[in-house]
Amino acid sequence: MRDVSASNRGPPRAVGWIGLDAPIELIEAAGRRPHRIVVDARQPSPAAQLYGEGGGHPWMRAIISRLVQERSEVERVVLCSTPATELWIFNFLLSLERRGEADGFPPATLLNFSHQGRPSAARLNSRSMEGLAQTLGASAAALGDAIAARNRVRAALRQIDSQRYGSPTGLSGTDARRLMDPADSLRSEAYLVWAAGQPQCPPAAGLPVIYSSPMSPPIARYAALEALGMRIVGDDTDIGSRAIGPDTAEQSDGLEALAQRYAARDPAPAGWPTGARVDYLLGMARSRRARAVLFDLPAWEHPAAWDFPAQRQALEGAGIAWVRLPDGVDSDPDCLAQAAHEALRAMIGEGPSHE
Amino acid sequence: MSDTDAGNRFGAAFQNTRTQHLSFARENSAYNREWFLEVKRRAEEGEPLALVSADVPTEIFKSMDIPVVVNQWWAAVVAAKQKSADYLGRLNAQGYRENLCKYCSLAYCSTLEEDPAQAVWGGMPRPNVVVSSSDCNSQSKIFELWARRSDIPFFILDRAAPQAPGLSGWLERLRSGWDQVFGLEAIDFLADQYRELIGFLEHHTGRRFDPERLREIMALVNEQEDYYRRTRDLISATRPAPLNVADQMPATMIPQWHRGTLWGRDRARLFLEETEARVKAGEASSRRERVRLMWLGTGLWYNLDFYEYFEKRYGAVFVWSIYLAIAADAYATEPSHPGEDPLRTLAGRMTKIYSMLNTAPFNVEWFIAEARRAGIDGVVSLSGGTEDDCRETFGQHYLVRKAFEDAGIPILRLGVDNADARSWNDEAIRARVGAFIEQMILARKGRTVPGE
Ligand code: SF4
Ligand code: SF4
Repeated sequence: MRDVSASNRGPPRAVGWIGLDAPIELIEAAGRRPHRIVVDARQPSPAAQLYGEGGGHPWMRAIISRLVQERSEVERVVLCSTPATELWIFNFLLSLERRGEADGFPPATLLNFSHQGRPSAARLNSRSMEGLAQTLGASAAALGDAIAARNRVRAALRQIDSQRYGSPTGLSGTDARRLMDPADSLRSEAYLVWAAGQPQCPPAAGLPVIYSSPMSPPIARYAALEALGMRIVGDDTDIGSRAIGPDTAEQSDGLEALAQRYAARDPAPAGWPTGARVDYLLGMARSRRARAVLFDLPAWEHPAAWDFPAQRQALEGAGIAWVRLPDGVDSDPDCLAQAAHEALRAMIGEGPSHE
Repeated sequence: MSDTDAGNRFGAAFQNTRTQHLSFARENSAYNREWFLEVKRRAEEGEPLALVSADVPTEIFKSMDIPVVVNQWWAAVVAAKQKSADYLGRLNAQGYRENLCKYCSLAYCSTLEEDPAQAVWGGMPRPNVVVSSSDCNSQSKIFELWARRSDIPFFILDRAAPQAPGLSGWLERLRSGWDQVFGLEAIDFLADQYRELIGFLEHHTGRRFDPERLREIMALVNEQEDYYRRTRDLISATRPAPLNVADQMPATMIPQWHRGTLWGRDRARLFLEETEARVKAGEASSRRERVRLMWLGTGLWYNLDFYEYFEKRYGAVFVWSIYLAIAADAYATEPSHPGEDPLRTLAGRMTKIYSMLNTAPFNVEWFIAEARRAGIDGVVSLSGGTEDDCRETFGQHYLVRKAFEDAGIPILRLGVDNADARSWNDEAIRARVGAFIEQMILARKGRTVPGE
């Protein structure tokens, strides 16, 4: 598989996006390349050292660090009001600007967006989409094309995703990610061309599991787990391409259609009730015939921690095993092997589900 | 967090030996308890009851005559009765991790008590509705648990933020020019949601909303907060300070929970009157005041003696905390234009409070302005430097430290992540604050410790 970063270089200029609700279509309609800012919050964040004062929320710290590193890559970054941590990053950048210290960062734009499903949220979301279209310079005509193109990307992603489950051998989770993740950071047409040129992946076997986490785990962890006898047939791990979500209606009012599409996206830990998260995970585990769910939860305070007890209870009720990956999972290869071993035992009914 | 008899917050024993300088402190506490028992009685007779998070405006509930209990207030009462370790443990036993939000979950945990005889003040009656904000994405999950357990409806308020706040001279525009500061989008969205909340409450409680009643309540709140503003101004301007934060905090916060009532307003007036009398009589928290300190963060409700130790040892008086100052500067809110919907004015108030307490750059700039007003020589900040520090988020401590350094005011960060008495080592912390006063303040002023 060719390295996608090669196709990232050169024009068009990129607009960074973070989180749940940033509409990729608007970035494309503005003639820019979407560039997803994604971090592994467990890794050190050297560029944020100056601001951390010895602590601070690890995910925010990692994002701040990445923004510094990617200053030359993106001309602007779009942040959203959910999760609250993204809003706080926006306020932090605003404060640095006020101090005259924001030069090392790309200019930030905030998208206020609500998932409450009430008329007030719909009004806010429409206004916010209009505001962002103006800021980015996206025209209505270009938006129609961008929406259609991104819908084609989603169709391609669904096609890849469907190969992960449904038959005892299929696409490995690792290959699925290699094929799907680039859609987050390429223009739609560029992604479709790139994806069409990818060679057929070898079929993979293994006990089918779901990977559940509010973080974005490195692909290497998928590969390590699959090498130990599992196949990751689905994940809710982050909010990029693999949470494919619904298409955007290709109607006349593109901004309104975008507002509706992003309001109806897949539920994330922050901003959705636990009940919705339980249904989502259980539904995925059942429809993909997973034998177990691997939970990868951050050690720090995170809304996903409030979902976890209800999720695991629901899984137990459905006869699906679960295992919580230990925190030391990346720093110690034995640790991963140990967790995988426990998961496998739980799946074949020889051991209990556990933390 | 306003119970004066909150002898300790999360279980460890502290002694409160300090003399109270305000005559009404005990009465306020007693009123609070009586008020709760009355709420309980009404709920048991079938009246509606709402449980809300601290950033939900109780003004709306008061205007609809719906008794309302604030989550964080009830948590403080439960903690004061030394029940927190037990109740948090029950939550952990249900599979919730130990390092999750104690502050916001304790009230819910108290509902896990099965034995009414053991329950604090007989226990929280079952609410009919719960309402929370989503300022923190975990808090709404805790409220969802509460709603599920009691099988009652749940309403969440979302927040928008200004893309480009109007920061030029903003501290001068807080009372009526607020919508240009904090952004029309944010305020209109909140007001819009308040209207939906009212529909929800009318549907689920049968009570009706009366905008005129809300206007009256808003006016009462403004009166009450004006007394706080005058009290704050007086304390800031008077040397030596008539009262320290150990007196100010409970005198402010108990009536604040009852804002919009005659009782709340009158208690705030009494606070001003007694402060004025003390100034007139030349009475001070410490006659030897040589250093004026700012306390940044949650108050040490379980350990108010802590603040006075430094008066005796160094003549260092904690004269400022967020409680009185936020009452003085953020609560009082006039309509932004004549005839404004009081719900929009209320959205302005709540946006100001939230922003000035929690959100950079607002909070940082307000802290500096307040430090200048009160003649602050040094700042002691409770939290910081930990990963579990939920409210102050990433980068806030940097911004706060830099701003105080720019202003030439030294700051000490204690790095205690919440006001959990179990993590509080009184002796060690006194020593650190003492060293800070000696080395960073007195030495700079060219003074030494008394007796040396
Ligand atoms: S499996 Fe071993 S290395 Fe991994 S977290 Fe547990 S004890 Fe630590
Ligand atoms: S993170 Fe903080 S504000 Fe949020 S629920 Fe926990 S204690 Fe409360």
